[in-house]
Amino acid sequence: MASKYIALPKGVSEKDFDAAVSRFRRILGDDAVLTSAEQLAPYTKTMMPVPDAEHTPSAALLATMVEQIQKIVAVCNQYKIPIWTISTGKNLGYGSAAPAERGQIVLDLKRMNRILEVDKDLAFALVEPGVTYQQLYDYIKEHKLGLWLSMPAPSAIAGPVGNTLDRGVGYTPYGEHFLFACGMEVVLASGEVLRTGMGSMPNSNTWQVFKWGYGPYLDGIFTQSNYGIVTKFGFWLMPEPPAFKPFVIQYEHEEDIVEIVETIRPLRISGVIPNAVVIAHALYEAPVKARRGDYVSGSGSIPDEAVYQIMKDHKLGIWNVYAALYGTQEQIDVNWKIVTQAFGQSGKARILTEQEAADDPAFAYRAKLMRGEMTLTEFSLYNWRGGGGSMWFAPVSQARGSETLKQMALTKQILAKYGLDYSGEFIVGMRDMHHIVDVLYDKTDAEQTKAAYQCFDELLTEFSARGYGTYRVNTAFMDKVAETYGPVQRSVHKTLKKALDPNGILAPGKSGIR
Amino acid sequence: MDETRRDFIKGMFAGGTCLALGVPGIAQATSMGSFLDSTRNCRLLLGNTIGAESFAKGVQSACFSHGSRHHGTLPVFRFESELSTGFLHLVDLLMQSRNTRWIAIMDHAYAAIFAELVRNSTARLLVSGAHTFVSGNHTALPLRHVWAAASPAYSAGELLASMLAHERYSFSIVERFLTQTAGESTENEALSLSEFLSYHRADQPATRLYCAGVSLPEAGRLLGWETSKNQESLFSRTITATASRDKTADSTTIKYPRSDNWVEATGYAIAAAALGMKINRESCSERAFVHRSSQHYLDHKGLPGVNFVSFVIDV
Repeated sequence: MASKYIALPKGVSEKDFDAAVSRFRRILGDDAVLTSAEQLAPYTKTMMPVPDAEHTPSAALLATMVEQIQKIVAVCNQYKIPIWTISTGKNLGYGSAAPAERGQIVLDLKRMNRILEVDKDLAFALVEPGVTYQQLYDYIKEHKLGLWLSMPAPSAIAGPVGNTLDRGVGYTPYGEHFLFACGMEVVLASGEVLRTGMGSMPNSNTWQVFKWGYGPYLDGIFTQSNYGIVTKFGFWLMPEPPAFKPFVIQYEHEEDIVEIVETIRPLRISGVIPNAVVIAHALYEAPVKARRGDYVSGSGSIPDEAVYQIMKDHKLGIWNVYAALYGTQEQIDVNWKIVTQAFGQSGKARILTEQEAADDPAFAYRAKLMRGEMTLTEFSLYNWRGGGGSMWFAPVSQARGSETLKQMALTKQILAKYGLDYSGEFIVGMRDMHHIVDVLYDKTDAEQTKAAYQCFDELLTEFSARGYGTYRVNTAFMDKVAETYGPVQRSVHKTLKKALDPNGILAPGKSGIR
Repeated sequence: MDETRRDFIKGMFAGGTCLALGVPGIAQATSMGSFLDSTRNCRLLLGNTIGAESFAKGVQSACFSHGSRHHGTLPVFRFESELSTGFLHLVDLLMQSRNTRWIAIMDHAYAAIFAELVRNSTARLLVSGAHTFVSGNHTALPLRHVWAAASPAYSAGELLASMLAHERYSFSIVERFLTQTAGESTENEALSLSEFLSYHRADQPATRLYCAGVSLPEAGRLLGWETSKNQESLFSRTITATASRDKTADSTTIKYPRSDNWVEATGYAIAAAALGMKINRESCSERAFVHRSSQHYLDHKGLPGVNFVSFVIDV
């Protein structure tokens, strides 16, 4: 007889699963326990080059309260049922809302969406996991709080909790999001509720202002991990500056990345340029203005000649450096002089201000991101080739020109071997660069899908062999990336897992941890 | 931002919120039992993608042929806004359309956003498809469709395969279903499509493959399916129950208009399935149709370089 469920957790009988689902219904109500194919279909779609069936959930639970989550983990412990927690579930290109393994239950916290506190003076927020950037943005505007958000490109529909817990980045001076996290509430697998940092102390009013508390700092172990379910999250917001000056600097040759990085690094470390600068390749920006099919057809990666034509047609550099200055007008004027002098020295840079680039849609959306405004324009990447396949390849590099050139050349070479394009950018941290490449492919093309898988696998292998670590990856490759960090780290991760979640019910497979 | 729209983005799309605004509460599960009810409020959503008009023509044609309750046409909603703000229009549309079945077409960028909004709204995703026509020197067939459907009841693959084969397109259609059963009147026998040879996977009978103009191994290569292991075929020919199907011909044979426009044919097939024509009666978990036309010059007809995503959802 066919199962009434579209999938079952590994090793769990249908009878036990039935019993667990009945308990979930009593805890949450019928309408918050999703088991039908039509209800679960929106949780199954991924952009990865593996069968979606490998990531099909058995059910989805829509919790609204911490107490419900405590009861859910008790049921999961009893029946040894794994749950995969999502906040808003917008981890596009990293696995979306689908679980790491077939049969896991999705614990969807989108309905836990209360903004608990936004403090104008101390510039912090405390929110639940389902809060989106758009929701918080509107709240801040409506209450005229004069605070800015930092968010990733899917801005409006994504949320700060999920993004920060997966160690995502934004584009303002607060762009390294976890750096600005301050205090979490976590439901542990035991059902206990932990508040990190100062939150553990009764009557403390410093939970969202002092990160460290007393004793070992714990917040980090709840990021990119499966040691607990974060139900409240504090983070700092940026006071709106009196003035803001976004700009773009274009370069014509790929080797110019060396000069760009060598010029930016001292400006970034000294704080002259305070935000997470983006150095975007022409093919990362081109989808805002064109489609691949306008320039090439057939198999193989896009030839350089076509890229130069795109640059010419759409006024793009091969590298497009987006950055901004923040502060008073006087501060900006001084820093602008420093920036223009630094970039003007070689004569290779074309510096465009907001006034000069105002009509450029690529600049417009980048400027929005750098001042914490909502835009979904970067989704146009998915139209570049079409076909719905996307994986983010995200190695980390030193902020050193020679290193970025090496990474770019190696990435491009491996992508070309599999007929794929280099749609890459570097996001400049303080001393590091997040090298972000969208591996775009057509999921309707079986050969290309297979090539994309092999390509991604080779990228990870070759980069790790050279000591370049990946900071974030999709669910299909989490084990492989975990392996690149060596056996001792894996062993420590596993030890922590066993101690905190002995039945292994929380998101098995996340970051390769079981 | 409008308070209710923000609630939607929050994912708080619950009955209480809607009722407070005078909007009917969320419809209870629209299952197969109330299949026909949901199609009374069927609407067409056209995104900013090339081919949208042809797709709409196909949908309206199916509606005219099969949907007398709809007075011949479906209400059409268009969105062509920029990505930076356009999603808010989608939110508005979904919010204002309780108890509605949407047939939608859009580009991949909007599709990524739309899929998220569908999940946020706790709407039901019946089927989503990626559709591509790529001409030029390429190893895959030029016209490709990949569908993910909640069940075979929402399948449009068989009808589309018939239509495209009739027009001598070279194409592949892959359908994956979360549940295997097609509904109450499900048959487990293979389809009987003229031109196509039918196969099933010996160790997974719910995996079906229909080939025309290509060998089994070639079809497997084009689909990325393993068709043999250690020189032994993993697939067996399926004997179709022609006689038994003939008896039910009235209920299983869908008449369709000829169209040499593949986008229009796609719209027609999707709409016919969405309108509850029960065009598929085969239970399976995965199914593919591969057709290579003997007239290869036709591989370059149609709308090259076009790709889009389709959805059928119940809100």
